[in-house]
Amino acid sequence: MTRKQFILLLCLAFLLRLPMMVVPLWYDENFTLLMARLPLSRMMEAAIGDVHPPLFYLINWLLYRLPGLPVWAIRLPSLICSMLCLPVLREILIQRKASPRLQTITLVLMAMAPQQIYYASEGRMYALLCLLVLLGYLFVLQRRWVLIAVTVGAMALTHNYGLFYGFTLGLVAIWQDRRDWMQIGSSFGAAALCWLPWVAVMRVQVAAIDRTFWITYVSLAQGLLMFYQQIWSLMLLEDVLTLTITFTWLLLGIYLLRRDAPVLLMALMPTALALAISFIWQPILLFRAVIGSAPFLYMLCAAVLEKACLQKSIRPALLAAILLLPMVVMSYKNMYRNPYRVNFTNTLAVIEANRLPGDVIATSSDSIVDLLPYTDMPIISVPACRDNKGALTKRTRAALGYNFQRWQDIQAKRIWLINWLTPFMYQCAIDEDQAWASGGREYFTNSPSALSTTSLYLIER
Amino acid sequence: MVYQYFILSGKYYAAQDANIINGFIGALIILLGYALLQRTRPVWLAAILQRVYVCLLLAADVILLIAIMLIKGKQ
Repeated sequence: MTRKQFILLLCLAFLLRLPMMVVPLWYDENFTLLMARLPLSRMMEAAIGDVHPPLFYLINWLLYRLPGLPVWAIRLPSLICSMLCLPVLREILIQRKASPRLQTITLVLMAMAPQQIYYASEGRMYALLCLLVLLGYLFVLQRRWVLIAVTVGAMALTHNYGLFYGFTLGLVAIWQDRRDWMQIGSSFGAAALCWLPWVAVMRVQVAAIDRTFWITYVSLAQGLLMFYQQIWSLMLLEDVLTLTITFTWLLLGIYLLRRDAPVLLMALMPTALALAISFIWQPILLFRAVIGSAPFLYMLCAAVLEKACLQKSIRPALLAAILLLPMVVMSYKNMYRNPYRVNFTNTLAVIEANRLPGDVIATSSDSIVDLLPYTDMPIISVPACRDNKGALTKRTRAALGYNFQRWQDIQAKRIWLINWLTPFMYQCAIDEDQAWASGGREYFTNSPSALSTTSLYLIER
Repeated sequence: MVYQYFILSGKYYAAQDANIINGFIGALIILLGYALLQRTRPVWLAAILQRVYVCLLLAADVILLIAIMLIKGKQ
């Protein structure tokens, strides 16, 4: 791929990512935003109470020291990381002596895959994780031991899945040349030392999520789905047709690159590790965290498309286009029309339009995270009989500034009660919510997604 | 008892798992068929069968695509 072509591809990638930047933030991103606006000590306290390591939050915390930043700026680090993935991947392909055609196809996939576009504009750590994995792989290829240590350490402090990528990179380094075992050992040992301060915190986090984590299901089929989602994200229906085409594509790629152990390891191993832990301990399989394997899966896919293009006949390339183009069009349509970002913008708009002085908002859910950045109204967190699966811990809630009050202790005359029904709630909490709401007037109930229903009530005392 | 949790694990994931397994088996069958065709002799018969095979796959693709769009339209 020439320099000019590559710059054009960068422009295309940027344009594809841009429309998603202005969509309202959803729950996870609002959580990042709240963290970024906290004082450092409280931010760290909230992170310790949560399930992720702190590096991404620290980056955003630094960013938000700049005054007057809009809320969507929380997505800027992800956009930058996602754009940087392209030159790093190009460098990897050059180092691997990939043919110009293979380089082009892989980079186009990286620029255009819905999974990459979506996470480039999400204020979470996944684009950073992907960039770090690519950098780690590049440094392993170049045998730059100090940089490997820094990158792998950063990976582990970005997301717990960083440990899986670090382990896999270690195997790749050994596979590459086992005579380097001393440098490899020192390099990964240094990375482990960087990560060591977080181990004690991680132990507490692991104990906290044991049996209360929001991921509740694991199966081999779900493991296979991880690979599918690295291309299409959640933008296709996961129907038999698209699954068959995608799995055929990936299996052909595995066959073509069957002797390329490093790429196969990077593409498959982290998911296999997550799957094993999910079976042994508790489900942790999370498609977005597998994003670090995505570029290597694109290499497999690119090998198939390159083979199709190399044929004398145009038919294989035509067949690939006929099969894949409808999927690309459908996934883009879904991505730009329905961005899968559920939030409380509408609920808050209704409250703001009808509020009177002295009104308060009350909820037993963590919808507070979606409300806090956008209103000056007092928001009361009403303790539920039992927190839902995946709820924020008390420590994190306190650090974020939740105002706890029991229902009977709320003094306001008019209470806007938000009931957020998700599949992870316990029946007693639902009964409680309904009892509080029974004395009030229902303003609306809507289900922005199959797994989320929001109801708004006004209770006048 | 966890609200909808059993619905989720019992129906939602089971339906999804069935689709995934079907898709994966479909992919294996397609690749197996293609591998068998590669080994078919004489070559002229293999060439004819390959064309028939690809046409069948494309027809199945179009039929499934229409079916999915119809189902989605009804939903």
